[in-house]
Amino acid sequence: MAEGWAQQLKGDVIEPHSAGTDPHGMNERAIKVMAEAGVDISKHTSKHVDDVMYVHFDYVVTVCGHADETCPVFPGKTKVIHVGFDDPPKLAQAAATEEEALSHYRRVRDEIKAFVTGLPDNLEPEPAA
Amino acid sequence: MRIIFLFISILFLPAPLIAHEAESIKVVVVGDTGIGERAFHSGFEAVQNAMRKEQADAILHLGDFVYQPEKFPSSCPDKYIKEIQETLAQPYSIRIFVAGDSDLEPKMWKPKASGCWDKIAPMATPFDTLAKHNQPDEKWEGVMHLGTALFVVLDVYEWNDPAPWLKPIVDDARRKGLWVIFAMHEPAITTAWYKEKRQTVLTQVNALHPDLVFSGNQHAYERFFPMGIPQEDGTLPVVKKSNYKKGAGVTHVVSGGGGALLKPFADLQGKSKRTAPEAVSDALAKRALMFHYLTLEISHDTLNVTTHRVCPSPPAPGEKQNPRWHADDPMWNNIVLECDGKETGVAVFDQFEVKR
Repeated sequence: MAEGWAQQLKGDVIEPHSAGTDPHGMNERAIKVMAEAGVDISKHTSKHVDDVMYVHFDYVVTVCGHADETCPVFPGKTKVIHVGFDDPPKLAQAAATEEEALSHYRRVRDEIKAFVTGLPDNLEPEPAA
Repeated sequence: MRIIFLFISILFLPAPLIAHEAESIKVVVVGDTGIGERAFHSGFEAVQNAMRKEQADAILHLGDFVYQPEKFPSSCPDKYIKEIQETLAQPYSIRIFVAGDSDLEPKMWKPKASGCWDKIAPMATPFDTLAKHNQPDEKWEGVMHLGTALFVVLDVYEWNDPAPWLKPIVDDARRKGLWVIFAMHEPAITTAWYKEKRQTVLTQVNALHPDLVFSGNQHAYERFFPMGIPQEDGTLPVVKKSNYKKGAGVTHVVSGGGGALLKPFADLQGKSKRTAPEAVSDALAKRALMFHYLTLEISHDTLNVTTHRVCPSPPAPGEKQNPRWHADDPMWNNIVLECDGKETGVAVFDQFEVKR
């Protein structure tokens, strides 16, 4: 979802990539709620972090607590930033209805949109040398 | 100049299965679950209750979720889907589902198939798209990485040798030190209702050297000794141990005891055409007619498989339901169920492990 928003909203200043620490395929609900917001991520693929390690990233943004803990080391000048979002699939497990499950996705979708909208200005400033 | 970002997420999967090397993952394995009018529902209830108590990270369902009574049903009743959702989907973070012939659209050779698969499949955890291959969309097969294991679901009903798309994936998993576990509905080898597959499915599956192969379809339990590739004369090279080193051979387990009516092995029924050849019977380590499920514990160094026998409460007085397939057939006079004479409850029936 973050990659989809970044392409949609910040494609002129950001080259976004996304990957998982243990990917399991694109989530149909994520595709659905993004489509509701006018962003097509159906052609995206669920990549493993190992498969994008060849790219020199300026920023790595981990978007949930667990990814922060298990994130691989990115050498060089890459800045690693953690932003905590709830995990919609996990929340959806307890949902009684499909609509309730989708509501978690929609909320996180909108939170990610707000974060991406503020990029790159909302990134922490580099600490003084 | 654009800033290059990488967003790392696990939004595609629930958190508990991000396994560190020191941790293990527990998967419950079950097949042929007794939902629907042509099954022994008390058996299913006992099995699913016991499975739920395992608090497993994932479920591997080997297919045949529903046994409905009508020929060529026009639709899949929502009551079946609701029960599957509540008992086999919601309790598990990760759900690896195999399509069984009773789940697919009814055909001349399977007129009572439920046609429920279109409603069951969305409950499954999606396969890894990273390993997407060029199979037709209608085939339900794919791979999933879980912790230190690669799970592979194969579609036996449109069978082609999977090596062209699967071998590179399996080889890559092996290079990374992952366990390789296959799942399919109809077994490559069985003594229950024998179909000759030694030179086709069995050879092609074993040639990929998975550590374990789970299948269902037969309403019983069977475990075979680890075996190599069948020889041209049908001989099966087996290692007659229950604890063995990785690479000793492929272990096939048939698990179809999730509540479907228990069907005697062909040799017990006196069905000579469906009785397995001697080489196949010799490769069998253990078998039983019983309701059951398995727990598969996967750690970096060990695959540990435990088979749990589930003996449901005896039928209430006057209750007509019977766990036996064709219960009135005189063949049952000489056939015992594993639970006959045993106490109600769950007990360990079989156990084996593979060590790295």
